[in-house]
Amino acid sequence: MAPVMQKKKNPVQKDDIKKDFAEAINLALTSYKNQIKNNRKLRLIDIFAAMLVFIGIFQTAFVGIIQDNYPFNAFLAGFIICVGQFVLLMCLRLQLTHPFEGISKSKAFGEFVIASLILHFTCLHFIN
Amino acid sequence: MLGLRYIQLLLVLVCSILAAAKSAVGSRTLVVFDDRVDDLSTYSEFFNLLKDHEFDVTTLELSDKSTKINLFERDTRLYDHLILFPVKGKHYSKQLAAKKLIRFNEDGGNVLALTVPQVSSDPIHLYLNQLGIYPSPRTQSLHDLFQDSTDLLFSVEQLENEIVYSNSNEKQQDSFNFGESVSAALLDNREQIVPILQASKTSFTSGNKSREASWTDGSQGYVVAGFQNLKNARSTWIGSVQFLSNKHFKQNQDLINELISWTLQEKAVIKATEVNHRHSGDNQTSYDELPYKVTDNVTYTVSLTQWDGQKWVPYVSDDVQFELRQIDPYYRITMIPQGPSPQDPTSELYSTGSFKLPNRHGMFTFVTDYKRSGLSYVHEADVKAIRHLANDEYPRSYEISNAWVYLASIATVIISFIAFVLFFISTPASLSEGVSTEKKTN
Amino acid sequence: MSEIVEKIVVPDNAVTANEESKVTSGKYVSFIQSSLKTLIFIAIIVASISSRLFAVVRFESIIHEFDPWFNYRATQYLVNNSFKDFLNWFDERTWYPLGRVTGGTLYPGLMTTSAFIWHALRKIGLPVDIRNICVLFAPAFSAITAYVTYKLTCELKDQKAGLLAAAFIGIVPGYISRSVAGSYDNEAIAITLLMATFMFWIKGLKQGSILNSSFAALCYFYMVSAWGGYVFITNLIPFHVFCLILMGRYTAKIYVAYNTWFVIGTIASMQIPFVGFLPIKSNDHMAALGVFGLLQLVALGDFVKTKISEKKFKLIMWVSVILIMVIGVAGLFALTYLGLIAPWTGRFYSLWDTNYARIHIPIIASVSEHQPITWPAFFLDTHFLIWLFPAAVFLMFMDLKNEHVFIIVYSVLCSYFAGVMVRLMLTLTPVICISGAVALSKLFDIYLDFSPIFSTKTTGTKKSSFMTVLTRGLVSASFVYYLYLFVHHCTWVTQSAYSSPSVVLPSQNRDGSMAIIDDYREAYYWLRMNTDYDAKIASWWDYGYQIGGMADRTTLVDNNTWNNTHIAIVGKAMASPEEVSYELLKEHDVDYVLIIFGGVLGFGGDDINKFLWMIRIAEGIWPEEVKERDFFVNQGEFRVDSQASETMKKSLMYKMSYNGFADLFPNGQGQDRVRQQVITADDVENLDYFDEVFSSENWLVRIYKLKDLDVEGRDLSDVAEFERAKNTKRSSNKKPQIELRV
Repeated sequence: MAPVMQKKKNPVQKDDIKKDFAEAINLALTSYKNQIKNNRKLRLIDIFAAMLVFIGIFQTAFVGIIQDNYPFNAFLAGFIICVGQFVLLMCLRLQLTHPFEGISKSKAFGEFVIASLILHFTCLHFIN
Repeated sequence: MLGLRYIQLLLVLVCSILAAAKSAVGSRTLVVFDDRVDDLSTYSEFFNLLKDHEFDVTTLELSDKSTKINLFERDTRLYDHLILFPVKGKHYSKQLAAKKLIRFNEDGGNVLALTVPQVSSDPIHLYLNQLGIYPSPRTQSLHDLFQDSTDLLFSVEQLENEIVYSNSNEKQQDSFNFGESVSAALLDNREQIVPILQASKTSFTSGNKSREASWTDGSQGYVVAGFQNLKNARSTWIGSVQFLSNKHFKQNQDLINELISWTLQEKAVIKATEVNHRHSGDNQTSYDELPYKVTDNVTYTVSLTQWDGQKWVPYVSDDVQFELRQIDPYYRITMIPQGPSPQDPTSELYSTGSFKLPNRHGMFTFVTDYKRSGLSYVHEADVKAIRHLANDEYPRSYEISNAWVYLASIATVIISFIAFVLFFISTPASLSEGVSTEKKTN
Repeated sequence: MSEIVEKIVVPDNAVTANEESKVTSGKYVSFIQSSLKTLIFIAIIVASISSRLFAVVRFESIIHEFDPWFNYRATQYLVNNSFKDFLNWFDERTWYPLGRVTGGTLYPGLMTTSAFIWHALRKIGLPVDIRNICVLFAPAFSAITAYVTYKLTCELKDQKAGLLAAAFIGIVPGYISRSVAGSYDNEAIAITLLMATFMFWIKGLKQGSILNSSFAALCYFYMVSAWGGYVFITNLIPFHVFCLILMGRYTAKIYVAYNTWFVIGTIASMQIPFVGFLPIKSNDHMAALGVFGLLQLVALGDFVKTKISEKKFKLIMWVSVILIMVIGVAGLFALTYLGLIAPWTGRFYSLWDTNYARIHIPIIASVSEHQPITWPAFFLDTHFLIWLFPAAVFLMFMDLKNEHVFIIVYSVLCSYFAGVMVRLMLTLTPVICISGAVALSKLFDIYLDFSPIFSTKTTGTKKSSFMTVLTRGLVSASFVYYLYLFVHHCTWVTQSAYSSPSVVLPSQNRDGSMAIIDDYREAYYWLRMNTDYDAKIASWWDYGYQIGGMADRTTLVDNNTWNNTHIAIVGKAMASPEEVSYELLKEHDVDYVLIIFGGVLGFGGDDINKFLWMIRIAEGIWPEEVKERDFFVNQGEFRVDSQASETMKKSLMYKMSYNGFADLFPNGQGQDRVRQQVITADDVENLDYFDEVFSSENWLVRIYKLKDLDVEGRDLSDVAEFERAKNTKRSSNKKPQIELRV
């Protein structure tokens, strides 16, 4: 999953727990690396997701720095499109790694595209 | 010398014009009197003056009980002005009940009422009481500690209203004679009352019985008071009849003249001719074409005109104010006279100049509320809606520099999405690879 | 009437027939099944529409009640102007002098839909009056609701249950109450959308399909645009997901379904001007956001879980969960404290504590829809489904799939809230229908199965099979009888209780024939014809929409109770002595005051009975000037007869209500038929500042005009006294008690 989420867990105090965490993270990372090593599509998804995370954080930082969220709708649109696209990507990723019954991979991709288009349209409308 | 002559000539001319002044509302005048109290021949000078003012005078004598007074026929008013000399008797109360007088006044008729201490004219008293003027009752008359003579004199300084009587050079008299028996009145606080002549500080009213408390003391009493109702009809009360008599006419002429002029609406009559407000700017679109929205720039104008006794002329003053109200005033702007109005040269155009509507939507009233004691009231109100900004009147995102960041990020996301989709489709071979690796890891 | 009843009976019999047809499975079974299904659907649609037409048949094609009048007016505006105008509509004819930014403070879904239908019909050459579309809007959508409910129930059990549920929702009074013809309200469309959202949600959840969840989000968006009750969905779906996570049922499907729904639904809902940034700021929406975040963590945890040992994972999980909860709660409090997110709204509190509203916000409590529900009302609205409902919830526990958890969560939450607020009964009704249908179809699955008759040899002795058949027959027969009763009940309730437009009141003549009391429209028409177009009418807010819609005059306050202070102004005017009221009303440029007085007719919902609310609301703003205590007599009673308190008798509302009332009666003893008290002419003081200009036929509506300011500048009470005095009155020799000039 996304590296951001893992960062959140770092500031845990106790040593043994810390150790456990470190181990867990290591394990997860290695299996993650294994997962993407051979699958270019997954790698593609992850690159895109990382980019989205970066854009999202950048916008939040921008608001934090200028201390003003004046065109609030614009900020929301910009931020939510990142979050939304990221989440949709994750959905697609889950469906690609463990396909659900009744939904083939190509169908999942098609649905993903449709949902993304809806998302893009609303965000564009929101920022007008 | 020649200059002096000219001035004299001019004075004569002015006097003749003054004498020939006409009322702005009409000339039909009814004079009601009672033979038993007064003989009209003692007031011939006064009636001559009325004739000079081109009033069409009808007199009605009331001692005969069969006489009927018709102020109205059906619902049409028969007279424009009513002059009431003191009359006594119950018959009079019935014929000229206070309610009738109120109705006459409310319908726009002007009333000049006279009372004397000797006669209790109930309807007149009741009528005046309704206006907030309380003349002293029968038996009480005004005395002055510092005046020994039987006739009471009032100096020009005791006059209170500049508009009714302005003290200019042409007027020679410095005091007015009110004769022997004078009533004084208490006035209440109503804004419509126009106090005209105040009793002196050393005066008081007293009756025959010494135990009776005085009605007025010192300057709280008035001997002449005017009243203007909300429909601009005027009433004036004078606390003495001898004031008008031939005996004192010469001394009182100026004041009588001014009182008649004011009461019977020959002067101090103003009105608004044109009220307008529109968007500021070159094309000056009106509200109907383009309703106001918040923070629009708007100009408000009003034209005021004045009756000078002959014709309507521009009314010029520097204290005409405009108000923008929504229950409470939001703005109060003193308007600037712009000279005679282009549409109507007989009136003066006042303008607020361009001003910005408040940043608040709702129903606002555009008001000119010009009420000065002695002048006709001008109240012009117009309720208009000021709407909020429409959804497409806010600045667009691309007009706000901050939003460029977000716009750029959205653009990036969408472009990279398209790129992603293209890449995704163009790498079909690895799909099976991916599945196989999944199977392995599982 | 009986014809309609029979039509309604059809679906139930048809369902049984359907099941029987299944039993005798033959060659053309599938064909017969599908054709029967179509037939049943047509029957259901006909039944649900026709039962809603009682209102039109019994009265006429008219918009009902209060809120629909506003919706109707807004729709007219939308039809006559462009959509952009509608969106930016500034309504200067309500809430004088504030005006209302109507376009930004309404849910446009309903009006947009009907305007769309109107335009579409015109395109195909059917120019229908917009009023008829509005009147028939709710019945039409109830048919769609029936179909959507069918689909939803299919997801839960099978088509049999689906058909039953569709039939139930078609005629259940709890839903009809808000969707009869003419009741052109947001709820009419909202319930359809509610069901559609849930249907897509469950589909999306079951399959993990992004597409279905997107549809759920779009339906949710439509719902947001149509009704304020969308908050219910906003909380129910996250709650469902939360329950599933707690039950350890997290799967990737949940992740897919919820995230898709949440992201698209949230950004889309913010497109509605009235909602705006609420989904980010209001606490009502925080649950959804929280679950969204939680789901990300759970997904991560799930990923990690597959990689490391279970024991370690548990430890890690607990530590993380506690940590995150602490941070989350602290963050929530901090944000609320800093004022970044909206404080908990009053309506929200009143959901939890029934007494909260009564104590703190009279305006909320004064709305009858916000009162707690009573037990009889449950039965009245749902009949025998109400006791099938718990059984159904129990059956849901028996096979506890994700979608069943949803129904359980839905029913538990909704039952509680419906107990607090009457209007939420509307959201409870669909779930009652669905679960009732599921329970009944389960029952029928077993008891309507008469196959033992045909296969006696295989199932054992003849006697036992006979007994089975008998018991099955008995149970089935009794339930079919219940169904019949249900239909009967629904018809009866619908036509007697829910078809009244409340604009016209039904009553009975002495000979028992039906008479219609049409005072409201009489009065509104009078206003329309006899008053200036710009006249401002003050009335209690209940009648604001109707005055706007029927009389087309400017009002001070209306049913969109957005400004408490403004409502309190009217309350204060009604509760104050007339000279105070006069000044207050003059300040607001009021020309007429309209009140509802039921004393002659015996109509209980009149303004005197609402008077206490006006006083309370006014007291909330001006505690010094209006005191509730003063309106009661010493014994704590609220009286209107000669023993009424002095403040009560002086109040404008009292004077206007009873002005001239006693004169109606021959002996001068007015009998108030609502409060059963006797009012004599002496009890009612003179009304000096107002002129009665109109009283409707049964005195239900009374309209008073504010007198003009006195031309002489006197107080109007003095004027009235002067007018009453005799002509021959002598002037007084007493010194007047006046404020002297200074």
